[in-house]
Amino acid sequence: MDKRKAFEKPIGFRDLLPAVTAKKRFIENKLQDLFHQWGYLEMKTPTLEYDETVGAASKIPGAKMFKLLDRSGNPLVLRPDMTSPIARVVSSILKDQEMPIRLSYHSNVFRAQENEAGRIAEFFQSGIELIGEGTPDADAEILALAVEALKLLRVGSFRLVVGHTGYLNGILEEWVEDQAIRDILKTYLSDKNMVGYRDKVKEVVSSEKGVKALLSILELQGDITKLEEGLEQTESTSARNSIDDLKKIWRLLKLYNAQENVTFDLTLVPHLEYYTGMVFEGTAENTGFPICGGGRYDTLLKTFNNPQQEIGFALKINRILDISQLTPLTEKIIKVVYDLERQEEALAYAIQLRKQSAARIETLRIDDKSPSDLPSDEDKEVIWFVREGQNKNE
Amino acid sequence: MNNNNLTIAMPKGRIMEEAIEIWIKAGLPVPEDLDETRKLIINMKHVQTRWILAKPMDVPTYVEYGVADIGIVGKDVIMESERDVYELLDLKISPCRLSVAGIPGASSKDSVPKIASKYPKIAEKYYREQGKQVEVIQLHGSVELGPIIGLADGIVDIVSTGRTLKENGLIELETIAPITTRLIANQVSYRMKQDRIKEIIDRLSPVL
Repeated sequence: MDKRKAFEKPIGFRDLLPAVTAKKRFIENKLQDLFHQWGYLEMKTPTLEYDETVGAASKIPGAKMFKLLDRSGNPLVLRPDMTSPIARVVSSILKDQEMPIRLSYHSNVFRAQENEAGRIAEFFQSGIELIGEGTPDADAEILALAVEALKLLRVGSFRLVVGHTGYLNGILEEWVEDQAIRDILKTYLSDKNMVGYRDKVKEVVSSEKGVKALLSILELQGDITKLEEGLEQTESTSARNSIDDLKKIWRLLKLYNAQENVTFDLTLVPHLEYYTGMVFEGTAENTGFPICGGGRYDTLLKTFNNPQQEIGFALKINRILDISQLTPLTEKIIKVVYDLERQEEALAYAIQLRKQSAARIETLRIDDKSPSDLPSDEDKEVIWFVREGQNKNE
Repeated sequence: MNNNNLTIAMPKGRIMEEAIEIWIKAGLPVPEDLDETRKLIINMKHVQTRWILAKPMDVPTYVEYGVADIGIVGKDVIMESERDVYELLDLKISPCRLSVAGIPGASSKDSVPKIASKYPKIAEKYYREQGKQVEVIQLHGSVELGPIIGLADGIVDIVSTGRTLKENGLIELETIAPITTRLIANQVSYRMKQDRIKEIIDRLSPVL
């Protein structure tokens, strides 16, 4: 085996240098201020969790998680998301707290990427969870908050596409009896394979009307009028109730002034299996990958023996860092340069200045070096504390 | 990913020629000087469209990363590249099939048969799902050589007429999947440029 170079790090992991780290912190602070205003309090959870609890609840395939063993041989995972750990917390430590509970997080999560070495294995998510409310009001609240967040982050033109798992499940149950085949059809949709979906529908559905209905749902993408069209395609109660829910959500979004950024796709099937109601995905014009995703997962808490409902979203901070027009304020930098003779005076000055000023204060001892040997600091204000004859302030 | 401009990744070669015929039949704009040009990018400003001429295997990559909004590519490449893209339409051109081929009557002398292929991921997955163990050897072309010179016991490759196989003394043993050319789209473009992509689908669908 080749000897590793001293600078190598594990595949998929990255260092964040100061400029990017500053932007990330700035973005996260802005987001947390917003989340806080909406009543979402920040929390942290451990980096490691048990595979059989949080790992299983996350519904992320085992091969996509980093696993290790604790000292007793129990399988652990590096947390693959934040939703499952928070579900664990609200089902245990917070279980007697009054509902609804509103929580937010800014955290790194881990996925083992087998596909390609260039893909990241550790990425950052900022998100919120609303627990204990199953109403369209809660759905609308998190959509509106996602819209506010993306506006705040100045990601350019963006769109939230909203669907509902109940619609798709309802219309599939209406025409396809076999659960296994319904799952295959849903997998085609979540794999974004419209060709495969169409071929399979034609292969397995015998009634002409059924084929027509199941193919027509592929057209149900666009503005609010698509909900009416969706209603016409189905007699299924659960599908029709889902459309009702979406209509209620839409009306509420008007009150939040958030309709403009929202469209519908009734065939939207997120990859995670735990979604049970409204689902959504956020896209922006300047990146080829989604920047946000979320929805309702009312059965997730049941895996932690908690009957409550839960809804939430996560923003993909790595993508947002690339496209956000937000820039941290350029800070003023003051450099205090001194020699041994005036050290006391210089450091006292720096300490005082740090108390008074928001600027970044650096100190540098030069002793016998001539000030002209120092690197030029064009972007910095330099204050000199050097012995007579060396004083550059004059 | 600029607002209303649409970038299409086209695979250089035979598929592109057939795609252009469909494009013309559907009344979609096609560059005029395609034959003479060696350019990799062709701008059609008047219709806010740009073609990227790419290696077929790279088309899903360009589309996944969003530097191309949509692309034309064979199902074999989609299966092998495992990219996260929308597969929107079966263009039904360049039909062929992915098959296993080998020397007739030959049986493997190794404990684990060796399979040569340009499609290592597909071959790997196919045999895994069959519960058979094989050793997949990746080659980049003229895969038929594998069994002839004794590198491999069989091959996984695309077969259209079967002539190449026959000329090299190989026969088709199993079909893995039928293959045609597909229209794929980036997942964000599919949302943000829905109107333009839908127009292309609506024009193409009746002529397929």
